[in-house]
Amino acid sequence: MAVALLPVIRACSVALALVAPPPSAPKPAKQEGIASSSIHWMRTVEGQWVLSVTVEPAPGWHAYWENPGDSGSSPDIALTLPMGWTAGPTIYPRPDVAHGDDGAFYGYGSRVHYLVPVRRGGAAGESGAPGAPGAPRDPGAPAPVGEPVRPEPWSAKASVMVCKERCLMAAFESSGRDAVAGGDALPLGLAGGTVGGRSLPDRAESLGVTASIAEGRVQIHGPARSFTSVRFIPAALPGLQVSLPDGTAAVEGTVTNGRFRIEVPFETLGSEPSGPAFAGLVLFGNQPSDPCVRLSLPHPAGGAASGAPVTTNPPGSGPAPGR
Amino acid sequence: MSTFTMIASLGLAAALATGTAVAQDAPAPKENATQQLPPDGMTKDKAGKKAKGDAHAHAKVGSPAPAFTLKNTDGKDVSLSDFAGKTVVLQWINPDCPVCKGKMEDGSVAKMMADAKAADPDVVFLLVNSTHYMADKPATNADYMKANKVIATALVDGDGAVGHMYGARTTPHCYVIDPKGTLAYDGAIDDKGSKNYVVDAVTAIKQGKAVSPATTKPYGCSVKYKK
Repeated sequence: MAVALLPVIRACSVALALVAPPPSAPKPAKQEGIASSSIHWMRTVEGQWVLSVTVEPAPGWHAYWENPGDSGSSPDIALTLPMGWTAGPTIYPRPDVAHGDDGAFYGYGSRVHYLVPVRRGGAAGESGAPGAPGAPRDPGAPAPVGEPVRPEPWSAKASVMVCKERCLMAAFESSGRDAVAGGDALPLGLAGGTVGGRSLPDRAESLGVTASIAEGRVQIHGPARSFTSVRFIPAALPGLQVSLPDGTAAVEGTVTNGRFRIEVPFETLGSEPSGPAFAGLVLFGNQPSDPCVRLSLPHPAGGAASGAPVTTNPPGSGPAPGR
Repeated sequence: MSTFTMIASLGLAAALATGTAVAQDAPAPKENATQQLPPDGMTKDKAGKKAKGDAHAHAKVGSPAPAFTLKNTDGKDVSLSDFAGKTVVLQWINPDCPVCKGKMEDGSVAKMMADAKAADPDVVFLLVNSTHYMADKPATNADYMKANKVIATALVDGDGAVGHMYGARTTPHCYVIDPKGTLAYDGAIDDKGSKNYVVDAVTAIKQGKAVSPATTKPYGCSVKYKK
């Protein structure tokens, strides 16, 4: 029974650690199109510090996922961290998916936590004695479990576009010097958790999802996990053109005998050779809290031949300068 | 405490915390592939129109750029064919869009033009406004550019015919047409960082290289087409 409970506990525990802002979280002034907002620190059960830009659009308004769809704009979040700390790429919770007069829409009509994981170590050009607090660490090294205090001093600026019949750019900023210690630490990670009722992208290998590129098509398959609907939505990669069926915002998969299969036609019109050739999100089910998987496939020339296993871009796995 | 009791307690605590969080959230819209959410409140006729341009459906990279004639802010006709033999940049604008406005006000557009001119002194910039409610206010475009020290030709596409023909979705949305009249780039103005895709495309064309990336995802407000 304990084993059966583990997935539930896993999801809930991440939420437990992430949803509660500290009492000192600043409260930005009200802005049109925004019901509530905050910038505050959270802590994963692994002990990794995560800055959350939390936005609740006003009724009828919406904010955007990393790929906004046919219009819109993802948020810009810029962090200034003390020497020795680096920010990872923003983690976007599972978006709502819709198709309207504007075409495809990927975003959030309710509260969303845009998450920026941070960790000590790694950025080029930083100084510090090896082994000393704040000293550079291998960028690929896992986040230290139980990092006692968050980075300080810190500051963050965020611009979040919200739209209804028109669009507005909501701006938030916050900063702090007071180190916050403590927080629960359970041996669980960001990937595959939930925050604010929305799932966070899981690793493909965790859910048995595999994919391969062949002749302008990506084949994605794996266990359907009791869901009858499994869909794919593309990331916004330079050069990547995913053909969505007319009037839809996602590529629907077929589910047979407990397994799903999705075929995604795509075209590459010049792309960044150093970046992935194909990326997006596999969505199980239709609810915001249902699981999702982030896929990222390298260029075939870069070593991924037809039938090669999918590589994933797990949340918070790679530090990159916050912008 | 037994293992089971501990796990059950953790689960209960976590579930309570999750429940609290969900209760604080606004009800999430039901997700459905065919759900009709109004992402931006704009309408878009993907069939395109022929009014003032030629009969091409959406412009496509690698194909001839659709011809058009539009009025500038002085009411004079400006045609794409007027610039035959030159690289032409089309940028969709809307002074009411915070993204478009932000790019103008922070100097990104002026810098893009300067950098593109440095790469190709003959490059032409045409700023197209397909905002339906600005169709009879051409001075808005002129004032907008003047206020932001942008020197270019602004064109009024009040009925959205040219916007639909090119498939312009956002403001800004940029296209680069090479001197042979072939559409060479379609997408965002930049990567939201230091990389300006338009300048890169103009530079590549001038150097006789392939434009890469030739398409990117444009971002910004939806074009406020006439419904």
